[in-house]
This record gives sequence, C-alpha cells and structure tokens, in this order.
Amino acid sequence: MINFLRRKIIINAKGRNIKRFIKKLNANKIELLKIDYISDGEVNVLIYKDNYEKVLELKSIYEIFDTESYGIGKIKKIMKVCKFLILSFIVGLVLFIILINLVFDIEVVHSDKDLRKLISNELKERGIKRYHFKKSYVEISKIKNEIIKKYPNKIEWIEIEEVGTKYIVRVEERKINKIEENNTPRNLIAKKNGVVKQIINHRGEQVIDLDTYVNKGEPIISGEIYLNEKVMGKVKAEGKVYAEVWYNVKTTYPYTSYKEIKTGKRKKTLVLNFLNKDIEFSLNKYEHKKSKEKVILKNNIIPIYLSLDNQEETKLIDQVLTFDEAVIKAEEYSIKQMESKLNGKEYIIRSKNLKSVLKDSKIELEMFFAVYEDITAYMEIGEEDAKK
Amino acid sequence: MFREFKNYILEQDLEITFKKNSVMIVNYISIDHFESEKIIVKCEDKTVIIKGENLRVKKLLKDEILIVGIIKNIELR
Repeated sequence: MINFLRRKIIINAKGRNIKRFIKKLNANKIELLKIDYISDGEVNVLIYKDNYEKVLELKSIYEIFDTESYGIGKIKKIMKVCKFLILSFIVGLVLFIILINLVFDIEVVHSDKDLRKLISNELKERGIKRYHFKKSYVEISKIKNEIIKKYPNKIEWIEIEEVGTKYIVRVEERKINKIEENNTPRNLIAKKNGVVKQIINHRGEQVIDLDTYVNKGEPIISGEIYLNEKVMGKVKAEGKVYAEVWYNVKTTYPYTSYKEIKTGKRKKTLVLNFLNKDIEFSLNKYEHKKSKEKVILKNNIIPIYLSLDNQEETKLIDQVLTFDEAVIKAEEYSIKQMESKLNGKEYIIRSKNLKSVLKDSKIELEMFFAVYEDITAYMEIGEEDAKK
Repeated sequence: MFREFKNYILEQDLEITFKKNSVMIVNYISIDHFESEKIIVKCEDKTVIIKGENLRVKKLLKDEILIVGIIKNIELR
C-alpha cells in the first residue's frame, strides 16, 4: 500500500548499450519497477521518484528524460487538472445530502382544523418545521410520546411518516363521551320494600323518617320544594338511602358429595393432544389428577399440539352427610350466596333458618335474611305523574 | 522449526518461478551477465543461467528480477 502511494516516474533512457545501463542501475541498488523496451537503444523505465537524482548521476553517456509521474505525484497532478470538477462533485454531494435531509412540507391529516393547527404548533415547538433538518427515528418517537402525554384527552395516537422530503402526520382524536348533565327535576325513591335505616341527603327535601317502612317506588327525598304546602320549586334530588330489606331464600343442598384430595405424587408427562383428545406418553397413568399444561410444539393449521404436563395425583373421597351436617352446609351455602350479591356498605343484619326438609337425598332449606342494603333509585317528577 | 518460521516471515529462500516466456527469480544477489541470448543471475549459493532469444529484464527490484523473452533453457548451478 505504501509502495502504491510512493511517488514514481517513468524515465526514458537512450544509449548505445542500454542493457549495460540497466545493469549499472541494478548494481547501484536502484529498483526498476517496469522496463519497456522501445528499441535496442531505448527503454522506458518506471522508477521511484526518490531514485531519480541518483539515476541522473549515473547516466554518463545515456540520455535521460522523465516522462510521466505515478503514485501520489500522479494523484496530485490529476487533482490539479481536475480541481474544478472534483470541487463541483464535492459541493454537489454535500448539497444533495443536505437537500435529502431537509423537510420541505409537513402535512397533518385530520378533518378538524383546530386539531391540525394544534399539532402543527406542537411540531414546530419541537423543531419539526419546514426547511429544517429531519429528525431521527428516536427523536420522532420521543416527540410523539410528548404530544400524546401533553394532550391525553385530545389525542388517541399520532404517527409521523417520512415520505421523501415530506412529513405526513396522522392523528386520531380521542373521543370521550361527555356525561351530559341532566338537570331534570327528580325524586329519590325506594328501589325495594324495606325499613329505612339511613338517609344521606345531598339535594331535595326528605319526606320519610328513619325506621319507616317504605314500599318500592315510594319517594324518600322529594325534588319538589314546598313552602306552606305549595310547590315553590323543583330540583334534582340526590342522595343515598339504606334500608333493612327482608328476603326469603330457598336453597337445595345434596346429602352426598365427593372431595378431591391431593396424594402428593406428581410427575411430568408428555401429552399429545389431537382434536381435543389427549394421548399420554406414560406407563403409570393417574386415575384422577390435576394437570398444568405447557405447550412445546403447536401447529396452527392442524389441531394438534405436544405439551409437557405437570400432573398431580388426586383421590376422590365420597362424603355422606348427616341431616344436621347437611343443614349447616346448606345454611353456609345460602349465606355465601347472599353475601356475594352485596357490595360496599351492605351487610347481612341477621338470618334465620325457617324450614329445612329432606327431599330426594337433598336438603331443601328456606332462610330468612334481613339485609342492610342500598335502595336508592330515581324517578323524574314528570315521569312519576305519567305513571299515576 | 525456528529457521522455518524465520523463513516464513522474512522469505529469504531462493524462489524461481517459470511461466510462459517469463522467469521470476526472488532473492537473487546480482546480475553477472546480461545479453539477449543469455542472462546469468547470481544467488546466495547458486547461479541461475537462463538461455533463450530476445531476453530482456522487465522488472528489476532489490530482491526480485523478472526476465522475459523466448526461454529455451534454465540452468541451476
């Protein structure tokens, strides 16, 4: 590589015994890189430029002319001749790189003019504007996230697409269903029959006292404001009413049942599932087991897959209950069922077993429940009149 | 082994490559005789005599010489 760049020249040597001259050069350790014989007495020899002075010293009767340069010298010479061309090429290349990295247009695609303006301003603030350099992928991702974070209620998503020297910005507006405030006058009524235990009145006039039995649909907080038995105004009643609600619940519970108990034995087994049928690769299969499936191979076209199952052996134990045990179980089950329907502040005040009968190896249980329950419901004042 | 390694790195051994109408000698010492019909090249412990017609030296470096022409005989003494 160094020798390739080293300055070289071609010299033209003329003389009677040119071979002697070549020998002489060789004896003086001058390297002759290429020798072209023009005639018996004339050669063109390629030598290193450093050796040229030495060659001139040794020339004696031979005529020497340097004809052409090579290596760095030639590069320099070419560059000197083509300097304008090279300069134009470099300037052109730089200009081309600058131009393809500039943004000439930004188009925000959305039907809402205000949103388009908003996005344009946000992009401008963050340096995405016309006749400015394009941003990197990381920068664009950052800008998108910033805009979405700034307007979480306005923008669902934003995409900035680079098409040549243009940015196409696609925006999806976030549509939040606005809860329409309805100020139609209404009464707070009882959702169920019960004894009123707590009234939280935010707006309206309380028309029922605590510990009063109310029927379903009966107003508890009225939206009509009375003065001297005359309706002076109508408001939208608001509040919360809790009452003691009574229930009679019927439950059936079996006398006999079975329980699944783990034996402690476990193993890993390869299972091939084909058309929802398991083919187990095991010699000692468990009669009853619990399995956790881990799919190893799956085919998306044919309904077949291979899995490595973690199996735990289980035993089924039959349980035959006495009448009393079955009643207790039935009561527990009934209470559980009732509790699952309650929420928040609601709770069972008391419960009582009303009747328990044995029928077809099952216990039929009738339970009474007194439940502290939210019985709040609303009815518009006009609606109430219409019903009447 | 050390000699082989040194030779591999420094490439000091005499090398003669013959191709059609050209002979390349690497690691020569000097040119003893130079005529169109005969060129004698001296190497470290050998002498290479090349006979032919219109023999010319095409390239002549410190340790490398390329001879071209109609080569009829290469003798190693």
